[in-house]
Amino acid sequence: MSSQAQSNYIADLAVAKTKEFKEVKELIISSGIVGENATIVEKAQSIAEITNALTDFQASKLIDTLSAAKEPARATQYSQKRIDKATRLIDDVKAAIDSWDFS
Amino acid sequence: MDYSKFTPTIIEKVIAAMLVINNPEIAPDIRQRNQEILFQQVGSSVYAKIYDMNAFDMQIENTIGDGIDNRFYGLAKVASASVATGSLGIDEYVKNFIDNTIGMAQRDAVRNARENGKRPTVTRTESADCCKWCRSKAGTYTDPDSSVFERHGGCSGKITTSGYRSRNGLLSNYVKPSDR
Repeated sequence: MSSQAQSNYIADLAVAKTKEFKEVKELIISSGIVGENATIVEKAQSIAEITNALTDFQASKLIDTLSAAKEPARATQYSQKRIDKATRLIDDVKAAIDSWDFS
Repeated sequence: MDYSKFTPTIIEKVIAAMLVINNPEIAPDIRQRNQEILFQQVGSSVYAKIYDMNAFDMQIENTIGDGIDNRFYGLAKVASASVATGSLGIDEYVKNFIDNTIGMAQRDAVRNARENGKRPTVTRTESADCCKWCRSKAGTYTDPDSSVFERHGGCSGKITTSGYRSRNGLLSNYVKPSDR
């Protein structure tokens, strides 16, 4: 079974080297690391489920694969539309909190 | 009053804001910083409101609490990373964060009330299928240990704080102060 340190490192690498969880799954399956146990990866809802099912050796191979992957190009700024939407939602949350009382 | 009953009134909106921030096309460190801002704002607002309501109940309106601790950083990291690591359980983490923040405000209000010569009570009730740790916390306290207000992940215990005004039916006079 993979160690906790390996699991944490894989999670950090997944965040740095992929954009979405489904990309991580595809990378693991296409690299052949899990072999016949690909269904566990396909059905997993979190990276912890995957790393818990990996052997120490498989985890090492996954770390090598993720390390070798190129970091995707990503933006550093949100669109104005998204900023407005997030601001509106936060204002809604604050208004809801403000309306709390004993009734 | 069991203040955690307020959590369901905001949880969906908080999660919606978290998902808007979690754009996979944005760099992870930027996402994480924005999640920190979200959870800090939500946490601070929840804390201030719950402290204020407790302060009114316990007749210590002129006091303030210590504020939230720094656990919102951890939640922001997990929330931001969930884009690439899977979002299983993230809703529960957000709920626990809000419930724990409520517990912190209750704890600080009870402590300050006691230091001001008031006599608030704390009642923690648990369901029949709760864990051993929670069962050990159940009971009614007049001078509670701070651990009575703590929760573990998925904890559904009810923590009820009660001051002079709730014991005397005066809570309907509550008005939010303009300076908070």
